[in-house]
Amino acid sequence: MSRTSHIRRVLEQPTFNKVTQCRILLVGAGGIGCELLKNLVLSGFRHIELIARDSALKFNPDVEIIAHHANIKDAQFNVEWFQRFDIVMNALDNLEARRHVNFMCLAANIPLIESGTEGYLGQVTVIKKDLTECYDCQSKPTRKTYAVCTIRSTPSSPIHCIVWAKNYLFNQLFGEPEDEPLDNEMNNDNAEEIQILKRETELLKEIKLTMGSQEYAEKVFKKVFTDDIERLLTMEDVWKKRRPPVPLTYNDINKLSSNGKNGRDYNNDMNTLKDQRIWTLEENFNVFVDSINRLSRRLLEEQKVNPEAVLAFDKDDDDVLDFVTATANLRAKIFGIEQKSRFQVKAMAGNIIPAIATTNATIAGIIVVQAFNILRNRLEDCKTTYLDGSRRPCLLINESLNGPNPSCSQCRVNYYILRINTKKATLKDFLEKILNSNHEQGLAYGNEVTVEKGASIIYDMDFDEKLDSTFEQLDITNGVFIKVTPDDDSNQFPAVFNIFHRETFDSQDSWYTIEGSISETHVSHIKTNSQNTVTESIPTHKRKIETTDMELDEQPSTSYKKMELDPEYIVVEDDIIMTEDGPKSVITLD
Amino acid sequence: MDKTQKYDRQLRLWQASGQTALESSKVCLVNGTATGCETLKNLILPGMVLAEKQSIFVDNNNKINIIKSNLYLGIGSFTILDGKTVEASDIGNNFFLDAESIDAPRAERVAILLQELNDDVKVITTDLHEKPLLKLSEILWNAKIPLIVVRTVGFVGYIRVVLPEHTGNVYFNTNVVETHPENISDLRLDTPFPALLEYAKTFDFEKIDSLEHNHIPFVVILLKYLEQWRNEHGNKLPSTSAEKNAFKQAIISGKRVPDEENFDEALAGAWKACSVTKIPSEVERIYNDAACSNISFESSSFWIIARAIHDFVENEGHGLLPLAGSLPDMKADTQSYVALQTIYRQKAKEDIASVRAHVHKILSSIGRPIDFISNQEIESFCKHAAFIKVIRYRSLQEEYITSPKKSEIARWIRDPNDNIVHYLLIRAIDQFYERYQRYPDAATLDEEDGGNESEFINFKSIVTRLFNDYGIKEIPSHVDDFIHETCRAGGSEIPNIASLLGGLVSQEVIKIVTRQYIPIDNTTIFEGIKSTSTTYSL
Repeated sequence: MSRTSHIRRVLEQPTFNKVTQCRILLVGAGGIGCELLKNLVLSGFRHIELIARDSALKFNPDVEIIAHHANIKDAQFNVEWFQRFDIVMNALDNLEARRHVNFMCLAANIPLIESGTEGYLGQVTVIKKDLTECYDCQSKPTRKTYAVCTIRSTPSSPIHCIVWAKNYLFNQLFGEPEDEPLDNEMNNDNAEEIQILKRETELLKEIKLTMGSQEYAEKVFKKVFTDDIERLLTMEDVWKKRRPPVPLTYNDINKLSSNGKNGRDYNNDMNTLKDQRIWTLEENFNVFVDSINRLSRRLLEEQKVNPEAVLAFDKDDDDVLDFVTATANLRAKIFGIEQKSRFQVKAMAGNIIPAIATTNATIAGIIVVQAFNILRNRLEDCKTTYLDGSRRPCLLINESLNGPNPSCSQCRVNYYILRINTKKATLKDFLEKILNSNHEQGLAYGNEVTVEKGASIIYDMDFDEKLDSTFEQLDITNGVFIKVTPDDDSNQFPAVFNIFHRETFDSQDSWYTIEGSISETHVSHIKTNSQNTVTESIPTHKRKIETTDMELDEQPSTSYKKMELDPEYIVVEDDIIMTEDGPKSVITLD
Repeated sequence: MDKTQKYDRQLRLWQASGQTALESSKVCLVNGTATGCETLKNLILPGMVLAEKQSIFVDNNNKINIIKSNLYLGIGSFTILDGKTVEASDIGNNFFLDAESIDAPRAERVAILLQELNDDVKVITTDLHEKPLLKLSEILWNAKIPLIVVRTVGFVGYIRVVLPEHTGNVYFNTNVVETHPENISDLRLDTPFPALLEYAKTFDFEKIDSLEHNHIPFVVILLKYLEQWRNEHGNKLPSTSAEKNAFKQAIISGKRVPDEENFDEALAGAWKACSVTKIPSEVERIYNDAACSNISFESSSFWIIARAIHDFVENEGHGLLPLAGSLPDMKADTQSYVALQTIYRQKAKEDIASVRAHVHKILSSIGRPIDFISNQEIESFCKHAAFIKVIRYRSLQEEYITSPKKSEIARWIRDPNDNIVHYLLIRAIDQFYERYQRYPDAATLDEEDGGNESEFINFKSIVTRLFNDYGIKEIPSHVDDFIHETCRAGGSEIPNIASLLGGLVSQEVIKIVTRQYIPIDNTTIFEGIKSTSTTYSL
C-alpha cells in the first residue's frame, strides 16, 4: 500500500485528485499552523504556500511547500497573488492580520477557512464572498486603550502601571519612543499636566545619553520614581480627590537591599515559585537596576553594528519582562496600587491567550474536513464548528454558516481589479468612462459617488478639483485600493478597485481591463456573472495609448525559500494577540 | 528553556497543580496507529512524563492481549504496546514514521521518534498479542485504571471513556475536583461571619473624607446597607424585585458624587448580595451520597474529604460549605483591600482546619495514616467544595453484554441524522475482523466499478445480525449508504481525522489526569463529512 492509500480510499479518486491539484495558502505557523501543515501534507495536498515569520520544515519531498518568511500585509501579497490559490487557511493569532486576510480573500473571491483557539475552546468557520458571513460581518471587541494622563500621571490599577512600564518607559529608554499623543488630548483641564509630562520626556532623553555608565540605572530611577513623582505632587488639584503618590528614594532602598550588586542572583531560582509570587520592594529594586544594565549592554552592543538599533518589547524576553515587572511594581508601590507577579505581568503585558496542543490538534483536523467540503463543492456542508472541551456534554457544536450581514462594509462591496495606465488615466476618465451609468458597459454608478483612497477623499460632489489629475498624480499607483461609495439613496453596494498599472493592452483601442467579483444583489446592473471581464474600447482621441519604456511590473520579486529539516519545529504553541502593533505588526509567532 | 517558560501558555490554563498532575502521570498506548501517535504527541508536548500513575490507550486495530504485568512496565515513561511492523501505508498517515521505518517493528520506531519530540519522555515498547478489548477493559476496570477506547474509520471517529465508579487510589477516581467554575466568589454577604462584620463596622461612612469614601470596598458598602435594610425589615433580606430596587436606591443615595466607582460596584453586586448563600442541590446530593455515608478502608480520598465536609456542614459550617476565601478585584485602596482579603483568607483557613480535623478523625477511624491525604488536597477540595462533580460510568461489559441500551439505540437509529449508526457499524467492523482476520475491503482503487460486491454482502450480513441483537429487525434504508461507506473505508485511518481525534482524546486524558473540567460521559462519535459530534451515555 502506498503512502496515500488510506486517504484515497476514503475520499475516492475524484476528490483525491482535487486534493493533489489544488493550491493552498496557509497563513501563520503557530500552534494551529504547524498542526495544519502536517495534516495537509499527510492528507495528500501537494501545493502549499505558507506565510510565517520563521519556520523550518521538511516533509514528503513530493510535496511542494513554499515558505514566505514575511508579513502577510506586505505589498507583494496582493489580490492577484491571492487569486493563485484555491483555498486560503488562516492560522493567525491577531485580529488585524485576520481582518487583512479576510479583506484580501473577499477581493480575490477565494474561500477562506478561519480558525482560532483559546484554552480548551476552539472555532473554525468558512468564509466565501456573497455566500457566508465574513470575518467583519460581526463587530469584534476592540482593544482597550487608556488616556495618556491615566497612564502617565494618575494610574489607579495594576494594568496602568504595566502599560506605563511597557509602552512608555521601555520604549523611551530602549525602544522606538512613541509619538506623544499629548497634544491631541490637551484641553483646558489638563494643560498644566500635559506641559509637565512633555518636560518629563525631554529630561528623560537627556539621561538616555548616559546609557552604559555606572550611574545610568540610578539616574533613571531618580528621574522616574523620585523627581517626576515630586513634580506630579506639585499639581495639588489633582490629588485632592486621589491618594497622592509617595516618591521612592534610591539611596534608602539601596541601603535596604544588601544584595543590590548581585541582582542577577534571583535568576538562579527562576522557578515557578519565584515567578508566581509578588516580589518585595528590594527585589523589585534589584531587578530594576539589573535589568536596566542588562538591556543597556544589549542595546549598546547592537548599536555598534547598527547605530539605529532599538530593542522591542517581547513578553518572552526575560530581560524585558524583568524590566517591565519591576518597573510596573515600583510604580504601583508609589501610587498605592496592588502589585503583580512576573507571571501575571507577562499575561497582562503580552495579552497572552492560554494555548494547549490538544485544542490546536482538534481544530487543525476540522480545518481539513472543511477543506474537503470546499473541494467537493459542498459549501452547504461547511459549518461553523465550536470546540468546547471544558463544559458542555458535547465536544463539538455546529452552526450553519450565516449569510452576509447586509450592512457589512467589508463584504457587501463589489471588488474589481482595474488594470489601467496610471500615468495617463485621469480621475475624470475613471468617473465618466468606467463608473458612469450612461456608458454602454459602464458600472452604472452614476455621478453621485464619493471616491476615497484610504482615509482621504479624492472626489465627491462638492470636491471635484482633482478631476484632471492622473492616477499617478493622485498617488494611485500599482497595488493601491480605491473605494467608491454611491450616495445614500442608491441601492448599489460600494465598489473597491484594486489598481494595477499597465502600459499596453491587447487590442489597439483598449485602454483598461476590469475583472470583478460582484455581490449577487448587485448583478442586475451588469449582465455578467461573478467573474466577469470587460474590455473597453478607447472612446476619445485623448486616450490613445502611447508605448513607453516604463517598467510594466513594479511588483517586488517574491522571495521563495524552501524549508529545511528541523524536527524540533513543534514547540509549545504560542497563540498570542499581539499588542505591539503599528505598521510592522507581525502575523505569526514561532 | 526552563519549564515555566516552555509551558507558559498551558500553565495559564491548568495552573501548577494541573501541570504537576500531568508530569506525574503515565500513559500506556496500545498500538501506535496514527490516531494513537497523534494523541501521545498532544500529551508529550504539554510535558506528560514521569509517572506515579498510569492510564491506557487502546486503538483496537489489532486485537489486544495484555497481561496485567505489562501495565506496570516502564516507570516514569510512556509505554507503547504494539506487535505490528511498519508498512508503507503507515507512513502516509502517521507523522511519526519516516521512510527508514518500513519493516521495523512499529512500536519501536514510534517510540524512538516520539522521544525526539520531548527530551523529558522515555518510551518503552512491548510486544503485544491480540485479544479482545473486552478482556482488557475487564482487567483495567478491576484494577481501577482508566481506559479510553479510540477508533477512527474513514471519516468517523469514536471515543469511549471507561472509568470505574470510584477507586481506592487518590489519583484515580472519577471525581472531578476542579471544574473551573467561572465565578467562585463566595462573599457571604447575607451571612457575614464575625470578623467580617467587625471589619465593616470600622468604616464610618459619614465622617471619612471624600478620598476615603470613594475607596470603601464595595463589600463593605453592601454589608452596611444590608444591615440597615435588615434593621428596618424584621431581619429579612430584600427578596421581591421591588425590594431589591429599593435596596439599590438606598445604595445610590449613599453616593456623595455620582461617579463613585466603588458604589457602582456595590450596585452591580447588589442582586447577588440579596440571595441566600446555600449549597447547590446537585452538590448536596454528592455530600449525601451513600459513598459518603459508608466510609471504609477502601474509600478514596475524594469520598473521605467529601464526608469530612459533610460533617463540617452539619457542625461548624452551620449549614454552609467551607469558605472559598478568594476576593474579586475591586476599587479600594491597597490597605483596605489587603485587610479584607486577609479576613476572607483567615476564615477560609479556619474552615479548612476544621475540615482537616474531620478528615483526620475519619482516617483514624478507618485505620488509615494521617498522611493518606495531603493538606494540599484538602485545601484544593475545600476551595472548590461547591463545584465538585461525580460521574459514574458504565463498564464495557454492561454496555456490550449485561445491559446494552437496546431500546434507546433502536430509537436513535431511526433518525437519519443520528450518529449512533456509526457506533453500530464500528462494532460490526470489529466483528468482521474477528471472523476474517482483516478489515472489509469492498473497494480497491484499481476497480472502476467501485467495489467488491461479495465483501459488501459479507459485511452487511454481520451488520444485520448486530442490528438484530439490538432488536432492530429491519435496517432503515438510510443505513445502507453508511454500510457502503464503512465497508469502503475498511480499516483506513485518515490523517486529519486522526489529528482531530488525537486532539479530542488527549483533551479527555488531561481532564482526567488534572481532575479539572468534566470528561465526557461516556461515548462521543464524530462524523467528519457533516462534522457533527454526538455524545451518548452507552
